Amino acid sequence: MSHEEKNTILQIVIGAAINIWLILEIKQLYSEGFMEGPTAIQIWAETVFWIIIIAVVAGIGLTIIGTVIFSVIEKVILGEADYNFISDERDKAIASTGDKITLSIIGAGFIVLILGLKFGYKPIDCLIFLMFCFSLGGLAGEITKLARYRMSF
Amino acid sequence: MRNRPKITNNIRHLRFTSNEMSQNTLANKVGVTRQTIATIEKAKYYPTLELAFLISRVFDKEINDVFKFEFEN
Repeated sequence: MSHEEKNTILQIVIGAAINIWLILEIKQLYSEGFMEGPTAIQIWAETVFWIIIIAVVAGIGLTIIGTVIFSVIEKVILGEADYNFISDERDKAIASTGDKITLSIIGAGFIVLILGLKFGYKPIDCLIFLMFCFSLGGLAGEITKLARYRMSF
Repeated sequence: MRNRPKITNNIRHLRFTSNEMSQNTLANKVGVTRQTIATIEKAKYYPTLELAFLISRVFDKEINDVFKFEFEN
C-alpha cells in the first residue's frame, strides 16, 4: 500500500469523524433554538469557523499519528515498514478523480442553495445544507480515491 | 462496436532478464512507487509518455520494445 493510499484511508476516517461531529453540533444548535432569529447566521458562522480551525489542526495531528501507526502495523505484519513518501503521476491522476467528485457535490450544493433561497427556504437552512455538501463532498472524494486505488489491483 | 485499445508491456520479462530486478528497484530508478510499477505491469494503469520513456531507458530499449499498442474486441 502506497503512502498516498494510506493517507486516503486516514482522510476517510478523519472526514467521517468530522461529518458526525458537524451533524451533532448543528443538531444541538437547532434543539437549543440558536438557529432561529436574526443572530442565527452569526452563530452559524462562528460555529463553522471554529469547526474549520479545529478540523484542520486535528486533521494534521491525526494524519501524523495515523502515519506512525500504519508504519508500526507494517513493521509488525510485514517485517519492514514502507518509508517511501513519493507521490507519483498515478497518485495525481487518482487525486484528480477524487477532486472532480468533491467539486461536483459542492457545485450541486451551491445550485441547491440558490434554488432554496429562490423558493423561500430560510437562508440559515440553505447555508447549513451547503456546509454539509462541502464536508460530504470531501469525504466522497476520498472514498472515490480509495475505490480507484483498490480497483487498480 | 468500436474496438477498445489496450497498451500491454513486457516489463516483468525485462526485469527478470535484468538480473531479476525488483519492482522496488525499477520504481526507485524512475521515481515512482512500487505500486505504480505493479499496476503498469498488469496493464491496469497506462503510464504517461514521460514515464514510459524513462522505463524503456532503464532497460536500454526502444519504447516500442517495452510497450505494445493493441486493439481488443
